[in-house]
Amino acid sequence: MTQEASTSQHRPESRLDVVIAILLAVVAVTAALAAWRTSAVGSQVSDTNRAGLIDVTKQQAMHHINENSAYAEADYSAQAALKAAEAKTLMASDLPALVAAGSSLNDNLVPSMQKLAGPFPQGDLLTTLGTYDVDARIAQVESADPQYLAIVPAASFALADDYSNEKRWLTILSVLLAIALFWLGMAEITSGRWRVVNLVIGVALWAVGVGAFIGIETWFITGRGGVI
Amino acid sequence: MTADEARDRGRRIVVILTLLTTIVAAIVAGLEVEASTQGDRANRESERLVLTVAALQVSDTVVENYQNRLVTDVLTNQQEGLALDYAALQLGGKGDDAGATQVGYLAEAARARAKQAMALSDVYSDPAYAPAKEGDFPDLQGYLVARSNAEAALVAQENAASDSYNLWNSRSDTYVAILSVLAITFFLLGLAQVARRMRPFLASTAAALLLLTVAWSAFTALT
Repeated sequence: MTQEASTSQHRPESRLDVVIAILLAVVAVTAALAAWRTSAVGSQVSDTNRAGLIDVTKQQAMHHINENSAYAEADYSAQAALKAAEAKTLMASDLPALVAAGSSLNDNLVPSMQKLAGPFPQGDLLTTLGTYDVDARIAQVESADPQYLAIVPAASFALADDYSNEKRWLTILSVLLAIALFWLGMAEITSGRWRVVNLVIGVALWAVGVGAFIGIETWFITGRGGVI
Repeated sequence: MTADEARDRGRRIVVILTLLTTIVAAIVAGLEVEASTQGDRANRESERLVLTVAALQVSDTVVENYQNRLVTDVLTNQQEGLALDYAALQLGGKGDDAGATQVGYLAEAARARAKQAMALSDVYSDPAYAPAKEGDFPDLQGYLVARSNAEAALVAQENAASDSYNLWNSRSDTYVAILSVLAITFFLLGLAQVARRMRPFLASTAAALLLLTVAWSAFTALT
């Protein structure tokens, strides 16, 4: 066999070697890209979950402030009501000194205490038992507070769930791409017909992986209104 | 069967086994990521509930302080009324009728305060805790227990979420172990494709590992 004939006999095999090597590089880069994106989405899951939990804490801190204020108002109103009942009893007496004392309590002390009582004892802030509906007062305050209303932990949790679903598919995809790399590695070290079989399966897995990657990213990013 | 045919058949089996391993690995990866996702969600829910329970405990303290103060107002004023009645009797006994009348009005004023505090107190107004007859003590303990029931229910939910997290986390760990075994299976199958003499041994070991991972995965998913 001449040198020329030998070269021509090995040429298709060498060409396939180059193709497989290029494919290996391309699949490795794709797998690395998918792994990076999976990791980035995983970070988003952690960040949004963390943001949601921080929102829960913030919301509860604000709720405690509102709750303390509302109970302080109810307490002032209750103490004012007690003093008003006392004043009424004294004013009903037939002793001028007690009437004067009751009148002074009623005219001076009760109104000043009532000033600290907020809207209590308004009719819509009473329970069916006639006691103060402090929860209704808290709800009234919170529904009128834009800062409180702006904190929505459920929104962060929903976003985290969305990222989590994206991560789920990207992880499966990353595994598929890693396996494609394995098949192409097999194609690199085998020969003849089996080399082609390994190569075809590897390329098919890679193609499915890339198609799925584009599909998954389009679906989730579009669903979030373009937010990556 | 010629030696070439036998070799070809061996390679075909190895490729089929590798394909099966690919499919199993993809499924196990899916199960692992699902378990991990569910675990993360249960963990988050458990943390959210812990924060909610802590917040509820603080709220309960505020509510209980308010109700306790009203109960204290009732009891203090009732006793003040009794003490003043007693003083009025003593003054009357000493012939100081004007003083007795004045102190009698003060006793009445104290009772009016007690009555108003009762009207504003949930413990005295709610028939579930209110005293059966005048002068009796309300069921303050029952009121506090009822409030702590909501907390207990949340704690139970938190425990359930925590258990769920542990379960999914443990499953996720198991799937990672299975994936590691599958990686070894891939390695053995890769060797089997190129090693001629050891092919039957490597392929059968890989097949055994593949069966093991399938059974292990099924057991993990179903238990």
